[in-house]
Amino acid sequence: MECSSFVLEKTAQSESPEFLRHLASCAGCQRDLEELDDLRTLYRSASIERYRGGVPRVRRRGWGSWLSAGAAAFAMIAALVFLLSHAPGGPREGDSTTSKSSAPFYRIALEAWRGDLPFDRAVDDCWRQLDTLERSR
Amino acid sequence: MDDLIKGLKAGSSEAFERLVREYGDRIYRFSRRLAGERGAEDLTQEVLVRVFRAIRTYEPTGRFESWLFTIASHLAVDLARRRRPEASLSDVEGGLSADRFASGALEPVESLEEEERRRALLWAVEGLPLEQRQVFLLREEAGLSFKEIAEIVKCPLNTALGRMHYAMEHLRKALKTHGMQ
Repeated sequence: MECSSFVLEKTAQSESPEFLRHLASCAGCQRDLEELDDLRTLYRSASIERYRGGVPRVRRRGWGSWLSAGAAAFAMIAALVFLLSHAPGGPREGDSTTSKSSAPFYRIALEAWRGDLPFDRAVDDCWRQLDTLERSR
Repeated sequence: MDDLIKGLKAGSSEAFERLVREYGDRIYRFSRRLAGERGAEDLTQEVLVRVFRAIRTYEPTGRFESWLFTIASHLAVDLARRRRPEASLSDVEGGLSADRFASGALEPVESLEEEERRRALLWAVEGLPLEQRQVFLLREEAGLSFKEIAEIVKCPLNTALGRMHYAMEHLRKALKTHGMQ
């Protein structure tokens, strides 16, 4: 076994009897090992930075979250299919200025959520703005 | 350790906090030396979150540290390959002094020479070729055996030993160049 192999053994910390016998009689390996130990000690005293990021917020993705995500995706697709199947598909009656290729605005009934006064006003504002936009097209 | 793993598997937030407390510093230093200072905290958080999410797939056939640092190593090497570590000597200087004084590990009167040696060593570690640095850090920071390291790095045991040997040689020469050993 060559000296470098002995040093590798030391690196791996598998101190075989053969290695220990050789070490006792080889000044080169003794010096190498002392240097390696010094390096290790020095590194351990130098590498002392602390993690300061705190505990990350995490929610494990369990079956529950996958199910709720799936349900939400299904509901969105169903709503989209419903809207497309009930879309006017063309210009409104009496609107001769709207071309057939322009996409119509879809009105969704929001009455179910109405009742609260500020929300009511916000919905009415939206409709007004949509009407203005439609008229300007 | 078993309690920690059981707690993590059960999704306990206390166990997750313990994981951060016990492994946060080591993962941070490992990530910082492997992928650079910038983003090391984010990377540490990502490792911790991934460990928490993937703990159900962990089979206690090997050591927990080995499994944990497999995740850390893959993420850090991936980041390091995408960009070179930006850590400059000034980064090392600032971080070192602040942390050491804060932890009380360094007396203000401690010799400047000793502090210089530490800085030079960290600088040299960050300058090692990526493959050698990975093996060195898995050994010295993560505390893994060479068999575990070879499995993580997916190379023969002798290759892992050889990389460590070259890393040590590099570091020794770097310190000698600085006239510090």
